[in-house]
Amino acid sequence: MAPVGAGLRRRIFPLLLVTLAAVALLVVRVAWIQLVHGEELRRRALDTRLRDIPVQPRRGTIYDRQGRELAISVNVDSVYALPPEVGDRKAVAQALSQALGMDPREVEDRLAERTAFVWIKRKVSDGEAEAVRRLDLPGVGLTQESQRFYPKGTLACHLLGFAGIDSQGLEGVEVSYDRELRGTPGRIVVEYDARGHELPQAVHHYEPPQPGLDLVLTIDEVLQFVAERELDKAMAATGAMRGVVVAMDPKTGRVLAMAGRPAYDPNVYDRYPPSTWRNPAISDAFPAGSTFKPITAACALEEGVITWGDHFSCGGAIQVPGAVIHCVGGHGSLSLAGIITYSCNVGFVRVGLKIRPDRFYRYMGVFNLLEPTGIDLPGEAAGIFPPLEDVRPVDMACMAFGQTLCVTPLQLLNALTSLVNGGWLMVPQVAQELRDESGRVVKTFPPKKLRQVVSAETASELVEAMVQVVETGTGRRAQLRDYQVAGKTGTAQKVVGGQVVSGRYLGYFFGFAPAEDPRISVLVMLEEPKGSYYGGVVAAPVAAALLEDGLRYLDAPPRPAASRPPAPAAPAQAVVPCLLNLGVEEAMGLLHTAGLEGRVEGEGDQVARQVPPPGAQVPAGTVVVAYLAPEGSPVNLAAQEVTVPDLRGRTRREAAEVLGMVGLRALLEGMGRAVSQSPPPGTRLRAGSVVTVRFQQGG
Amino acid sequence: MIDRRLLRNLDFPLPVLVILLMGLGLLLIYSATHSTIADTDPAQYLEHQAVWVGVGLLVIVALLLVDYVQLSRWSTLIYAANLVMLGLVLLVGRTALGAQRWLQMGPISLQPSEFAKVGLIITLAATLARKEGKWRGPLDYLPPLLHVAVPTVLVVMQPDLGTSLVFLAILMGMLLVAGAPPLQLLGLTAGGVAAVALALYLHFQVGLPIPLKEYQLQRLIVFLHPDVDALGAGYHLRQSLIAVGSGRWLGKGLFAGAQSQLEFLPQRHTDFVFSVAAEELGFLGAFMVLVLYFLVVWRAVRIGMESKDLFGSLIATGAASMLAFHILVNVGMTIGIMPITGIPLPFLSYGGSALLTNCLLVGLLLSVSMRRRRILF
Repeated sequence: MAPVGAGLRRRIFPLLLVTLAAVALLVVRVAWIQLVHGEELRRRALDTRLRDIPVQPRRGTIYDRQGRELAISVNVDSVYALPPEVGDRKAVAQALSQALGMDPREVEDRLAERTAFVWIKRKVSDGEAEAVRRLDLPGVGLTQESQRFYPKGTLACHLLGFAGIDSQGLEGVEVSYDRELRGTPGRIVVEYDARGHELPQAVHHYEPPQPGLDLVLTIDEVLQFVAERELDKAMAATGAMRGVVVAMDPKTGRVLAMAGRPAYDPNVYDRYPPSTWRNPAISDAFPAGSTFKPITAACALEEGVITWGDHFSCGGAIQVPGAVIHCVGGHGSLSLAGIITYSCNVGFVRVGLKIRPDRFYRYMGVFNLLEPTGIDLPGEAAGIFPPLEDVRPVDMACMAFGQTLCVTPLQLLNALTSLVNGGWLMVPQVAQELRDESGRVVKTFPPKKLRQVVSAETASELVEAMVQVVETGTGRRAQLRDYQVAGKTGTAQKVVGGQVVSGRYLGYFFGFAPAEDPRISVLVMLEEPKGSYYGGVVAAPVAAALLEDGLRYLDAPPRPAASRPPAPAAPAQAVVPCLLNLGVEEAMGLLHTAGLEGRVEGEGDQVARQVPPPGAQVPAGTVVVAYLAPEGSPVNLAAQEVTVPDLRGRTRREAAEVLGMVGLRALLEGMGRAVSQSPPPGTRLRAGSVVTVRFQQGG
Repeated sequence: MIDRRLLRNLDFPLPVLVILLMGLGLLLIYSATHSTIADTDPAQYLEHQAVWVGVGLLVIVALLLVDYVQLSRWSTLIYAANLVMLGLVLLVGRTALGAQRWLQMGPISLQPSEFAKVGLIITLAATLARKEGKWRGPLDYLPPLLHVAVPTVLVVMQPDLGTSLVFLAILMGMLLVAGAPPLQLLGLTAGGVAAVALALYLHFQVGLPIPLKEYQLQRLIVFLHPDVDALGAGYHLRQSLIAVGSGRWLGKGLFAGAQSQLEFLPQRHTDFVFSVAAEELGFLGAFMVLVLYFLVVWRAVRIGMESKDLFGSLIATGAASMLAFHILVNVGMTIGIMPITGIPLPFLSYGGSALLTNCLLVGLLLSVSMRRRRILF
């Protein structure tokens, strides 16, 4: 055979080079996998071996501000399976379905799932849990979960919201404080080999869950209960579609009660239509109606376009470019306080037209009406205003008395409250503090002052005007014996699809008491009340009842007996009030206050004639017949002249009552006893004219 | 007995390297199997492999006594025996893991396709050596191609695609040394790969029939898209990558690799033994193993270069080609750069036939190295 030459050697050598290249390639690839990619692969390796069984933490309790439980969690057992660990699927499914009352087919399907962990049945009863425990099936176990329970049922449902099957917050504070309430889940970790054998000496440990923090709300259960009780009464009496009552502490912006109707039971929330889960106090914006007028007045005052000395004439209607705007009646000449007291639309149209739209919008921003209030609740809506560049005079005219714009009840309450607490706009809040398991406070939520929106002087004068609303104006039904209530009524026309619809109203009352140092401010809104729909008729009594019970509960000192209005003596006799030119509802309301019955005759919008006439002394309970005439054919009021009575020495309430009886309107200035009046007693005046009465303390 | 002068010429590094590798193999096989067969003998696989290692060492020593030059005379007989064995497998072979590869001989089962590799190297070397290193033209390809084609077809019929690829690798290496123009060989290899790729492409696109089983296609798909079927066809590769990757620098320690010990890694004592090494011994261990292999191939190439005749050179070339191909494909598949084929890792994987085959090669190499100089009396 031929000897091997150098040429042959050269031919073998490339083989070594090829091998070297191949080995180098392998080394680089191994290095990449082990040294660069390694951490991730090591984690993946662990993942395939570890089975995690979750252990849910106890969800934090929700308390009212006095520590009363509003939402609690109880530990319950849930049944899980680790499908790879289950041996005989059929037998296990059979046994489990019997113990848990389930369809064996369904159980078997779950056991057949290609996952490491599957729930069989969650939140089982104690009996079922015990049955499963006794069965001791391979790959089947029990773990702790947390079941939410709302002991007070529907109470404060919109505020609390509810938590779902995984103890996750779905509505209300359960959502906004979900992270804090939730806690950290624990787990049981077991290491298994590829055949699913539990490894005895391997990782097998228990990480206990960290319970969630307890949440203390600013809500007071008693006030919440009163609010809901009164709201329920009003809903039943008026047949309203929806209703809202929100009460807050005017100095801190803390919400004391927040009630909405229709309500739902958060324990079984899924049995109610989701529309009832919405919190009507914050989720929807409505036309604010006349309740908005104090805000308009504040804007105009701060802007310097009007002063408290200005007077506004009202002939019952006013022409603005593109529309004619009507009032309830011809108010004559009224001061600024007067147009608030009698809720004169014409007067406010005149105010509104003086404000430049861009300035008006700036103030809307200042009052935080263009944006949500920032309350710690989910799903809060913002106000809806027409775009600034589209605002025409008619829009300014309407916005001045609360139409055309829409705000949420909470926005309205918050903005109005800033006018009565010295001028400070607060961020409303429902959470007071968070506590840990041992009751230690881990976080407090101090009141948040946003900004001063009006001067203290403007604020106190607006309070004064709103005292008059309740004493002599549209809000008389909110009067209380022991506390001086102040507020503003409102009746808005509903807007559906951007169009004002006639015949569907929103009745509002904003109230606060005691007027000189308010402890509670409250907003009541009833949507589409049947029958009487005036805020002063349907909403004011709700606010009054809440304020009365609430202030007593808060130990607010009742006003001294001297400044207390006389206890209404059982009126054997009653004075027939003047109903002329009033709407039906208002007329019936007046009769009711006077202790008389009413009957309506004829067709029309306004009262044209009445029997017996105004001022007549009749036995209580007498039926007064009101004859109607269509709007636009007003009665000649001059024909109905009345004599101005002598009011000197009377209290504000007495003076207002007497004037009202004879068909005159009252403008009351100052506090205490009447010292002078204009025009003087004995003067003959048209019915509906205004008599100004001055009062002085200790006079 | 062997002449002392012959022994002086023995290539000592090669047996040392091979003994190191076989020892490491025993450790890894024990590590991969001892924990999971507790119901029988935990050392069952270790004991079997140890017996084979002993037999293998005896085979190496026995081959030292044989002058390899004599083998060329027996070439025709060896070739015929090869074909008979492979034919027998198809007729009476035992089926396991979906392929008919084993011949049962009493208590032991042998895999003729393994021994066929050695047979092919010897007989092809004898054929090519007759050309005396002179390449005349393309017609010279025909005899060696035919020589390899017959056993290749028999092996493919088992089916054992991996071994048939080994045959082709051996053919390429030996043609190069026999004098075929390197560029032609390169073109031939590239052309073959391209043709296979085209056939596969057409198969997937227009359904061109190709002689591959469904599981083989699956492996190719998984090789291209490892996450397609993580629990099915992709399971091997995925678990292997996890095992290798979790080894990091120093590994988890022998007997402490979770992937291997907990049986997530399939075929861990046979085809995926490298993954066990990488997981338990880390990058350092894996690197050492690869270095040992390179040194083995280096010794084989060196023996080929120093052989006294072309026949010896060709034997060494075939051995080097085969070992290099085995290493590249086996290690490559455990780390995802080669498709999964049933090619074991030389000296490390569990399995008697493969171990004996590799020992036969080592014996031949040592025989060639020992007789590299003409002995003058």
